[in-house]
Order: sequence, then C-alpha cells, then structure tokens
Amino acid sequence: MRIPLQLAVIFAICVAGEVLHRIVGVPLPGNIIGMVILLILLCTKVIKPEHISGVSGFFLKHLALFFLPPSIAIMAVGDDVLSKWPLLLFLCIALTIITIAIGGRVTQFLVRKQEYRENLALRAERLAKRAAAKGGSSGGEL
Amino acid sequence: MNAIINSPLFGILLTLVAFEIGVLISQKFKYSFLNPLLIGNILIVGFLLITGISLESYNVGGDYISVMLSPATVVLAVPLYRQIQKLRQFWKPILAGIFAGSLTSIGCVIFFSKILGLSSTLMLSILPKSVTIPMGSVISEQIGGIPSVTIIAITVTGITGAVTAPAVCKFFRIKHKVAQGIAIGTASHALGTTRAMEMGEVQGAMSSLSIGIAGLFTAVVVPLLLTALS
Repeated sequence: MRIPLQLAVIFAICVAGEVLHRIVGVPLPGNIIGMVILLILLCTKVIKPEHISGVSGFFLKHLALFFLPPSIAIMAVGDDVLSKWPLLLFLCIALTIITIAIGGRVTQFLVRKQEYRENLALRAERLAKRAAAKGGSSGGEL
Repeated sequence: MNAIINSPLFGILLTLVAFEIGVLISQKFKYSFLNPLLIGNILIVGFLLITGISLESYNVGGDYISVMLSPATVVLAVPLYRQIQKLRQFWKPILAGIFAGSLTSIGCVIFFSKILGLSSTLMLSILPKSVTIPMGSVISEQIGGIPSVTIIAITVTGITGAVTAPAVCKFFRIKHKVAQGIAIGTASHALGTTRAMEMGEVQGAMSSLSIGIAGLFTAVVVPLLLTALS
C-alpha cells in the first residue's frame, strides 16, 4: 500500500477508537481501543502486517520522539510536585525491582510446574509404549 | 521574532533537534541512563527557561507532534501480533505472570503512596509507571494524573529495568528464559525490552509480548480498582 493510504488506515482506526470511547462510552482510552481494533484486524487477516509496514515501522522506530512534547509540560508542574521528586524517583526505582522479582518468580513457578507435568505425561507415555512393545515380543517367543 | 516563536515551526524544529541530539549522545556513550527522551526533555526545558519562551509558545508546534501519539499507540498492535504466536506453549503461566507483575506494580504504588503520604494526584500520575508511554500517559490523563509526570516516571522505570534487570533476575534466582522476559517487559516496558533482547532471543520476544498485554491489563484494571477503592 502507498504511504498516504497506510496513514489513512491507521488514522481511521484512531478515529474509530475515539468514537467508541467518546460516543459509545467504552471505558478505555481511544488510542488503546484503536490498538485492540488493529490487533483484531491482524488476527483475522483483514490487514496483513506488510500492508502497513511503512507507517508502523516509522512510528515504532522513532516512538520516543512522540513523547517528547507532552513530557515538556513537566516545566509547568507546581512546587508540590517538584518538592517530592526524590521520593518519586526512589519509588520508581524500588518498585521496578519488586515488580521484576514478583512477576518473574510467579511466571517461573507456573512455567516449571507446567513443564514438570508435561514431562511426567511424556514419561508415562514412553513407559506405556515400552511395556506394550515388551509384551508383544515376549508373546511371540512363546 | 514573536511571530516566529509562536509559529508551529518553532516547536517542531526545537523538538526534532533536541531529540536528535539526545539520540546522538545516547549512541555515543551507550549508558542506559542516557536516554534520548530524558536528554531531549532537559535540553528543551533548559532552552525555554534560559530564553524565557513560554510553554504555550512551544506547544503551538509541540502539539503537532503529540497528536502522533495516537497512531503510535495503534501500531503497537503489530509487534504484539508478531509475538502473540509465541504465547501458545505457555499461555497460562505467561498471562498469570504478567497479571501478577502488573498488579504488584499497581498495588505497591497505592500502598507506598498512602504510607509515604503522597497526594492522590501524584499517586495517580505514577500508577501506570510500568506501562509503555503511549498507553500510560493516556491512562494517567483518564484517571486524573499529570501526564508529564507520568512520562518521566515511566522513563525512569524503564531505565531502571534496563540497567538492573540481569542483576535482579540473578539475585531473585529467576533463571527460566520465559520468566525473565515476562518479568522485564511487564515491569519496564520497551526500554527494559532492549536489555531483554541482549540477554537472549526468548527473553526479548517474551518481554516485547508483555508490553502490550501489561498495558491493556493496566488500562482495564486501574479504573475498576480505583472505583472499588473510593
């Protein structure tokens, strides 16, 4: 697809997200609804990733640029926010470490549990096969 | 001169130049904490303060770039779609792990904000700190936080993840590659994912899968949780 058409598709999805949020009243931000719409269109193969790769590639590659202007509003925050910055910094750092630890331990526990169960099932299957093979050969000798 | 400063061209040019300087510096020194977004932010804020140009004048142009946040969020569906096939084998542990991580982040922010006596505006601003910026900043706006504070908090969180992830995984004995990736992506979004990709292919894929799912989960759960608590 040509770039203007790719842009039109992406912006149409943005508008659809806003409509669903503002007019229909879906309680999710419009751009997040838009992401879900595009995900559904991709999963149902209505849109292929190659169709929009020019635009999606550009946005994904330079994603951080688009956050720069909204971040400048930090200039205008009051002293009540600015005076708390060491505490906020500490919280962000400490909670990131806690989140990695708990998210990782929970995932690891559950993944290993599943692997263990699948291994048991696999072993039981193998034993059953071997027993069946043995039974067959000894039966032939008799 | 005022006509030029108040034209959209000024804010757009300032943003592009500051961002590119940020990218150059971060590529040259390769320290994770030298993030292009943070450097760009400091350069622009410094420039506006020194020259006395108002935030309103900057935003005349800045808003043109901010509008692009919406399509930038929508296209996050593309990497999510590419990774979603990798969910297949361990989809239950992966979803449970992402939910556990996201809930930990949200719960801890609420808990520590109450203990440390943070104002509710500040608490709401850092609530989506583990979510990727395009999603986190709109979640913050929706629940009554200050998006600019959220963006800085998310960036600091991402940098922390990128810098500490391997050490944290080692210390807490998170050895399984899938678990490492999920933990890093859930806690520290795209910035952490860059580090996860260095740790290995599986970690990178799992981490980038977590970004979209953790963001969606947070967008759904946070408003529900806040209405339940109030």
